[in-house]
Amino acid sequence: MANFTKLSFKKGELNQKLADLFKGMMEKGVVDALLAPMIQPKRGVMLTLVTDPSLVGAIDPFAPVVPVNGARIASSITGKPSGRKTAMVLRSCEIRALVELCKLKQAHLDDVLLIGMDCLGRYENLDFIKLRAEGQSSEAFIEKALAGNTESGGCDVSGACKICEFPVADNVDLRLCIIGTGSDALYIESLTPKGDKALETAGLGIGEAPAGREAAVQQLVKKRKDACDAAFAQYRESTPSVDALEDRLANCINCYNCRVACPVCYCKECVFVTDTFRHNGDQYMGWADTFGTLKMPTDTIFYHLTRMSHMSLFCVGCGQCTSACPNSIDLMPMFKAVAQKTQARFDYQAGRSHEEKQPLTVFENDELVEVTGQIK
Amino acid sequence: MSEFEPKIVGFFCNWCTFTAADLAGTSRLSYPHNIKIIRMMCSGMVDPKYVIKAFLNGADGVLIGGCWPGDCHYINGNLKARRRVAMLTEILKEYGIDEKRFWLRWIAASEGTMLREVVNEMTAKLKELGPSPLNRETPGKKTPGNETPEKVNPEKVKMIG
Amino acid sequence: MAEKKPTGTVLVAGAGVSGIKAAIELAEIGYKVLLTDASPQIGGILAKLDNQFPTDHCGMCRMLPLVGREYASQYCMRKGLYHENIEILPFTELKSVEGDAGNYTIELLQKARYIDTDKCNGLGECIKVCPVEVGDEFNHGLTKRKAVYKPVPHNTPQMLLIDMAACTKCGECVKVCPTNVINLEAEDELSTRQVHAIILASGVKLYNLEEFEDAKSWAVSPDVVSSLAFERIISGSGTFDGTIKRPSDGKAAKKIAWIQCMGSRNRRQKRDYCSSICCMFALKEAVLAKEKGGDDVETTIFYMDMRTFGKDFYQYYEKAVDEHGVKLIRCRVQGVMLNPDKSLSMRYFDSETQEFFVVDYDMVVLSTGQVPYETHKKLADLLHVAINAQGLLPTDPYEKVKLIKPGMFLCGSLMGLTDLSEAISSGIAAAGQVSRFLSGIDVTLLEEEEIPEPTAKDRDEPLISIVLCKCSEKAKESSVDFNALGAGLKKLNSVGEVNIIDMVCSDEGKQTVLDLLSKSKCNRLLIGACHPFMYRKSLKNLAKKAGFSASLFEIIDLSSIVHKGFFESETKDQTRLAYNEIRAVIENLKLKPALHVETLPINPAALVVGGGIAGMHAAFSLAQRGVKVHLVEKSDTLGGYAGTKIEHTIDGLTPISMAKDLTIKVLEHKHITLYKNCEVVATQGSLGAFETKIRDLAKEENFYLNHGAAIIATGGHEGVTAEYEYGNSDQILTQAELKDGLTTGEIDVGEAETIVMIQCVGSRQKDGREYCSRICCIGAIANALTIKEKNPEARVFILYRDVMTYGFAEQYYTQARLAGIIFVSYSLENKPKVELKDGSPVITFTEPVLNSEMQLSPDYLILSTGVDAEASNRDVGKAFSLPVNGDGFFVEADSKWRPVEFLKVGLYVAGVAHSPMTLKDAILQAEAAAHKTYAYLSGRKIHTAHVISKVHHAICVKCQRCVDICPYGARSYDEVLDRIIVDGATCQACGMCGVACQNNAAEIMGFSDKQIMAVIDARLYRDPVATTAQ
Repeated sequence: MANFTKLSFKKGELNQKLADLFKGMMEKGVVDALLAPMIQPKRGVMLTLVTDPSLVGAIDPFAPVVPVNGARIASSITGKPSGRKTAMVLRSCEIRALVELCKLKQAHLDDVLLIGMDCLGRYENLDFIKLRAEGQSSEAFIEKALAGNTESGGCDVSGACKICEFPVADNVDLRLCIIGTGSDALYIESLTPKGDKALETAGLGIGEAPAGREAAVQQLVKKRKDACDAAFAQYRESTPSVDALEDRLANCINCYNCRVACPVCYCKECVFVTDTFRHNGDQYMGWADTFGTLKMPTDTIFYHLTRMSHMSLFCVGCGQCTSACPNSIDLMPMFKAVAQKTQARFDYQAGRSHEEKQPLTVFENDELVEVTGQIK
Repeated sequence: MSEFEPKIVGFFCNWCTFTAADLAGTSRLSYPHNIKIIRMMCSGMVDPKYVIKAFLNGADGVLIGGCWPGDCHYINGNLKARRRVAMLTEILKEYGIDEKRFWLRWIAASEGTMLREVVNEMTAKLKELGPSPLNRETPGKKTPGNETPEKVNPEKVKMIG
Repeated sequence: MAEKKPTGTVLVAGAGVSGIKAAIELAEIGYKVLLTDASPQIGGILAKLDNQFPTDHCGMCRMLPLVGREYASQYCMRKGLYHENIEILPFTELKSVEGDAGNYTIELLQKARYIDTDKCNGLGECIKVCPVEVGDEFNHGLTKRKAVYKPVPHNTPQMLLIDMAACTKCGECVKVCPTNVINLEAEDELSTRQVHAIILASGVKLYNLEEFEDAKSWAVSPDVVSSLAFERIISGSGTFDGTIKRPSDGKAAKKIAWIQCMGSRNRRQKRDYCSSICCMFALKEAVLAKEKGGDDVETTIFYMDMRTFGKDFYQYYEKAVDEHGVKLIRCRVQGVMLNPDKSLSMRYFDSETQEFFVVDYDMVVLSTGQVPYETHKKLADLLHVAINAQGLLPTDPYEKVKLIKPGMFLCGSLMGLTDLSEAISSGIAAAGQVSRFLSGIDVTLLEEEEIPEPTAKDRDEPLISIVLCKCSEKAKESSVDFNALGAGLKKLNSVGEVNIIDMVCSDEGKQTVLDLLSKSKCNRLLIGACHPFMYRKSLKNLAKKAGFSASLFEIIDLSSIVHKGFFESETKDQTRLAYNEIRAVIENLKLKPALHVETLPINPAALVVGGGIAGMHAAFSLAQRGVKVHLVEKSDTLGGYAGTKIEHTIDGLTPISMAKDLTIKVLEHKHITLYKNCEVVATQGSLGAFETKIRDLAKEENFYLNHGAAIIATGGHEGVTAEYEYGNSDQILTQAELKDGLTTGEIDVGEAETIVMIQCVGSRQKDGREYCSRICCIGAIANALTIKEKNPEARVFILYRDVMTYGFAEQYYTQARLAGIIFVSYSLENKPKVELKDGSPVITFTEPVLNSEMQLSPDYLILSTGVDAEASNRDVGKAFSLPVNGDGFFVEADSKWRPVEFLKVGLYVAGVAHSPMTLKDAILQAEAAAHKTYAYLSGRKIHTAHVISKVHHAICVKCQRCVDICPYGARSYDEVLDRIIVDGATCQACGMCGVACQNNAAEIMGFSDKQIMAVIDARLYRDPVATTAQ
């Protein structure tokens, strides 16, 4: 059954169209506020919370950049709900992380109209600023990316995006579709009663699905999956052991930026910066004694492995960890590869559904017997 | 250079496996002395951090001993432990720490013999596997605290009674 | 200035589970307890059982105290029991009792062990050299032991003794004893003690093959074993380390048969009772046999009635049959014959198929039941009371645990025929009765220990004082060089001083230590001694006197490291071994925070929900001890179902008049406030500080009650049914309606020819009441007998599935059969059919013996519709957030070990709210629930433990994973404070929250990651193996 609304636009008017759309929604009271990527005078494009309809003009959701994973932003806005209806325009990786944060009671979607957008990838922040300076527009990027080429002026979208199997966002009320819709149109798909209601109130009709969207999406997903498998194969070969992991992390300075940027690392403060890991001098000496030398800061591998045990079940592979590393360590494959294994063990997939319970919160008397292999 | 002696860290539940250990002790069931027991109140209390640390510190194996399902003093801590072990195994495997090095076993208080068998079996298995890739203790290297405290004449220490 | 009152002291004679439970309960509230047992060990029968249904595992440790849990041992109870207020005297007999209520002089005869167990290191060099071999009682003679032996394999410390009957006095043991503690000339010691109350818990004998003439005929082969012996065969510490083999030749036993009612339900042998426990025992053993022996094991139980009457018994029975494929055959087995190939042939008549069968088995287990009477006569003489008509000790008609002689009580299977959970409740109830009794006489409680706050010194940089007892040096096998050890430890960071002392346990030893420590600059203390748990208290006091905080004090068991060769019996270098063990402890002690305990604010008032007999009894029991009670009853009358509907019971009780008396007591008591027409709406808070919203149904308004604890006694009522045409004919009645009619005379059976009763109507079936209501069979028999009295000519048929006349009720079953009442069994698959012919019932059923259809047109058709839970239980459950099972009864903390408690501390259950039960059992539970409540409301300080879960709010994100994962519901999210809060009394420091919380915002103080990781370091980096590998 089809519930798509076509939004045709002339070249260069996509953002204008979208601005009108959301302006309308706000004025018609569909929502009181909007959270969406917007052009910031000096800071490129950032998620922005708008409550004045007249100011949505700067909206630019398809700008290929995600300075901060939006799940964190959504969490800060809804962790203690304001009670005001808010539309949030986010990408798949942000929404999947958000689903996990909801399960962890860090976000609440009751007042939220969740709008997912097709994602063709994001550039690292600095690359994006550079490309913008060279005059690349979101539309230009979309056109190029849909044609299968994301490389531009020596920059390419992040590694995480290249292997992301979720260009299309699920668990949303509305979807802004640009894949397989033809270059002059954007389609708004409604997936929930909440979405239908929104479209209706916004005075938008219901129409057919764009021909060829499905095929286009599938093709893109397939491409990314293959890329993913290849990447993992390559990664696992290059990093089969803790030794190899140490090489990979040779330049880690224990700044913990990776967990600060990680949308599902939801602790206020990481255990590794709490007193638990504030050791006494004689302890350091003791460790040093053992081999005569001790690399400082300590506990680097310990930190990364522990982090895996904490977040790998929720990891959505958004790649913010890699983007955040000041020493350009490519952390994403490290965590995503493990996540693939741990999530598979419990037939769980981070962000797949609100209903699925997180693996470590449920347990049965007669499950996982293979772990001990004992039957009385 | 004598045969490789694996180091096993045993996180034992106070209510079952730890007692089984005592039982084995009192019944003089001889053990390979490779296992280093750390008493936990419950197998469900074993944080993944402990296991990771044990391996990073060069343990060749880690054995968690808990109560049989239904037997847990704290109702279901052992079931929670089992899920965590499954998760952690996946992570360790990914970085070359064989799952044969990381065991969870149900051992009731009265199963001293089983405990001995488990420890023997694990030791044998680890001898096959050889030292853990993270066991970097270069054999022969003298590590402080390892040496027997040298003999001293009684005058040096305060003696009473 | 009055002279000092004596400390209330109680003798508990018998250290089986019920005796232990009673002792613990009394110790918790501050009485001094002497716990004796005639056998050389404690634990009674349970010491031999690894498995109890429904979990098919142990769980004994769940009976350890929660009030002040640090004063008791915190390890597997099979190792033993330790409590500061309990003096345990095994191998001790009660010789005489003189004096009056509240002031008894008793003589105790401590039998000689010939070994000084305080000094014995428990390693049993003596056992190795002892030349004498006899059958080991612990394994029922299936294994051999020496004349000098360990009574229980898992006890620590090992309490060795010499069996003088077997000993040849060759003296070999004396020669090899390293600690020189064997005295073959030792003698029994008679001592006199003063006690204020006495609890008898000497338990019950089990029918055994050696002793009883009529049993001998069955013992045709060693492969015919008693059910208890079979427990040893499947035990991990048993005869074959838990593999199922037949004793004769150690061949795997694949076909195993159980024969029920061995020595019970046998009039000829004057054993006209049902042992009550054997059916579940056999079911459990059959299930375990399959689990441990593999799927190819075939288990068959030959029975007369499957008496699965207790809570959740029937579900277990279904599981055993449906899931595990245990085979059940209803018949009387005629005998067992030994075949040449050692297999056993059994000949039986199958009443269902009407044929004789002969089947071979590898092994036959005789379900040998409890044998009451045995000890009663002896005890009665001892106590100067006369045994009652049943040959048992004379007790109060309603209160099983109360002897007619004031100040004397009993519990456990001595009461009659008891299962595990009743043994436990009776232990608690007996303790309750004692505390009621002692609160009326002039005795004091043991002084409450003052727990000092941590001092500034405690918070200083850690500096550890180490005291090592070198008495073990004398032990030949110990090669520890204490000087070297001390010197080594002294070098360690934050070790302040090392003192090596001889015989810390001796008085002069203690004095020396005290003198030393009083001068010490250190703020943490580590004492290494042998068997520390034996004198933990004195060491603890010593540390306290010397000014060390309890949380910064560790005792380590040098003997377990050094003597026992804890895992390292092969290691030559015991000095290094000890060094490494102690070092790990030091690392931990170094990082221990100075912990302080919280004293919980306790509102000394109780809320009792339900004004039935159970509720009223609990309320009165508490009020008598000075506890303020709010009694809430939803109807406008007290008494509940039994107290308003049942005139008299078959065992001569008169519930209605009993309830009347109780009502007056309750109404008159100044401590009890009654709220009629009121129901519970919601409650909040935790132990000591609950606030409950009450709805006054009459006034239609709400009010609040504040209380420290609550007892749920909401009761139940006769079940309802639409089966068998009920309601469509005035000739079809329920048992209760019949009983009423017969008492009031409205129903005249004088002319009646035929009366048919159908049992288990809507009961014991998946889609109905999935449980046995316990009282219907007895009720039916009572009515049937009344009918026979009024009209001997009347034919009375009782159609039953299993006649649940367990315990002494069996004799009513016998009586009924003698009175000519006809019992006809039917199966769930083939229920009787009832149809109406011109308004009168016609019933069709199969007569199994003749195996033919029978049709009757009775004057009355009586339906036993069982007992239903109160519908309101679900709401009450919601109000207190307590679990309610599928049948609408409350779910207790543990069906065996915590029968009247809920997991949340401060909430208790009693009576039919728990499950259907007889009046006496309901009163027993009420007494128990009241005592559990009293333990917290008695006015003594209630402290949290030192080691307990805390929240670091600054770094807590309130994801509430800890709340979801806490098995006790001790954690909750307070929306007003926007914080996670911990109920300090309920928290058992299991550490689940600590692991669930990823950044240690939830932490077990005193058991922190920091400490454990330091221990891991110590364990690995200082590994002796590494250097031996050179």
